[in-house]
Amino acid sequence: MSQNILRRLLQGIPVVLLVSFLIFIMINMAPGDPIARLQNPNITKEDLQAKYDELGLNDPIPVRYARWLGNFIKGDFGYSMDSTRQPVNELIAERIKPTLFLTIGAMLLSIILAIPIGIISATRQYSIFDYLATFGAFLGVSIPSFFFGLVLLFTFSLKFSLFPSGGFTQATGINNFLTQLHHAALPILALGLARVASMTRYMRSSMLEVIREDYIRTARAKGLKEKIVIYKHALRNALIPVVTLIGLSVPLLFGGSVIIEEVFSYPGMGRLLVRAVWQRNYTVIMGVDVLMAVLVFLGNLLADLFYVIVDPRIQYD
Amino acid sequence: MSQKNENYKSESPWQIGWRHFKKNKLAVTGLILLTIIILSAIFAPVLAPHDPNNTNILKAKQAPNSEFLLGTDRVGRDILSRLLYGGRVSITVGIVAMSISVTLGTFIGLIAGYFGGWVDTILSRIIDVFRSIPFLVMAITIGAIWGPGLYKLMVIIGVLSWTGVARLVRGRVLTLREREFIHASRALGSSDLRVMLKHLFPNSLAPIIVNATLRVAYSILSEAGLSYLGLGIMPPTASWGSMLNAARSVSVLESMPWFWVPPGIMIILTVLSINFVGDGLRDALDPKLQKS
Repeated sequence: MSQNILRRLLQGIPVVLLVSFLIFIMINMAPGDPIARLQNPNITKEDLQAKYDELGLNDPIPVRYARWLGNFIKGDFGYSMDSTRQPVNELIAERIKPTLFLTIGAMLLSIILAIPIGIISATRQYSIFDYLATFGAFLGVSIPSFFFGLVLLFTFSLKFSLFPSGGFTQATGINNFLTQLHHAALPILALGLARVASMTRYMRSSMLEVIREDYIRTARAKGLKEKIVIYKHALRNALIPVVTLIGLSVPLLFGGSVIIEEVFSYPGMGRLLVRAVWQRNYTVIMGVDVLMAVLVFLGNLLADLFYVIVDPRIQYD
Repeated sequence: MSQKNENYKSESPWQIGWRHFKKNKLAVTGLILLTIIILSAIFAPVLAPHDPNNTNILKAKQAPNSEFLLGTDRVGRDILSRLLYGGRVSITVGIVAMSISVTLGTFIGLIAGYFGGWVDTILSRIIDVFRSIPFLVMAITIGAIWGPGLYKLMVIIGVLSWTGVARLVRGRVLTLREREFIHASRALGSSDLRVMLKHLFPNSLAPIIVNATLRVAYSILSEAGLSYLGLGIMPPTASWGSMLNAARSVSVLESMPWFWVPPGIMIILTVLSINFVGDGLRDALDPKLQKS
């Protein structure tokens, strides 16, 4: 088991390296540069060149990538290229928690809602509940998450001040889990809607497939209660394909968080990325992109481990 | 193709599919709704009551009224007209981006599945790399480097979303590759290209079509998201996404909902009907699900 985790971790390294190299090349082919916008227009060419040399921007791309990589391995993402010159690590460190709070929250929300709805839909196929759930699931995947976010913001924050319209923590006062949840509730709902919807459809069809199996008929035939048949025998098998979906939704959650954070002025990595993109702040873009790739990879790894818990037949060795 | 005998009338697989499709109420509803939306986009110049780009400061920020059925935006442009013209842009982006990703994905999937071996290994690793970074993160990064614009947007969305189709086609080709008709075709001296295009591609068409339909919906959603962030379609060009961009201002969001609610509803209706049609197509064309 632990050997398998190690092997998977090693497999992830070339993928992350390739991602970082591709992004590095793309960023460096981009027009415009961060120095030009920082300097006053009266700067001489010589001074500007000196500035480039100082930041190492005149070296060939492979040399610069190697330098970036060397620092990255040491866990150093370099310095922000805007006037603050803050270390990128610091910038990311203060924003990774809100983003993880948001994405993990949306993930948990989808699991908590989708699994019961899917089970009821499947066990009462063609009932009114099933039709409503199916239609709701279609609607859920068809609403742009940020538009749903705007509607939530408009309704529950601007018209009825039930939730704050931005931020993650309070400027003053106690910042415990509940205040954070209060700030993150609407963003989690907006980000989670599409995940709830698609997972519900998956859960329903997976459950429908399983309850037609012979061993379910056997369980019923030997006189087990319906509850035990469904929740003990059927559910466990129906969950297996749903776990795959959890793994697949990791990149979607991180991608979606970028736009949701913009809607709610939520201080996470996505908002950091969007701001960095406008400022052509290469080091920050690079840091956030690569970290997102690492997080997606770890999320997939976790989903794989979860597989083993749900399906003991899978043995990694 | 259809050789009709006087006594025996055979149905092509597509006719069978259509027969199944027609029975699906949601799919038919979706198709009708989608047709109306597409027609209203095509005939936007006829239907639009005003010029979508005609500004009039004196009539700016008007709530819906009899002259402007859906109101006017911050520079006095008619929202209804912009909505109709915006549909043209959003739907075009959806279709073109889908064509790029499906063409790319089909070719790569065919090659990976047909040749196998190291070709497959390399292509599969490339697919892994593309899948390991969130779409929107990558799209924003590239969008920021290239700058906004209609054509760039279509290319970005298309080029970043071919992996799903590629995996699908690859899997399909792997199961078809060892079938007798493929061996027969090769034995008759067909080139690799001919086997791929004349035999493997047509036999993978059903799942590709289903996927392509749903791709249009994803692409429309992606256009909306990127344009909302200001990295897609730029004003004054109207698209549903760029109209939603106005809602980034809190005062617009709070007190002028007629700016941003209509484009949102149009996106939902369009994507919903495409999803209904796609789901109907899946049921109709997927031989595994067909009972009769």
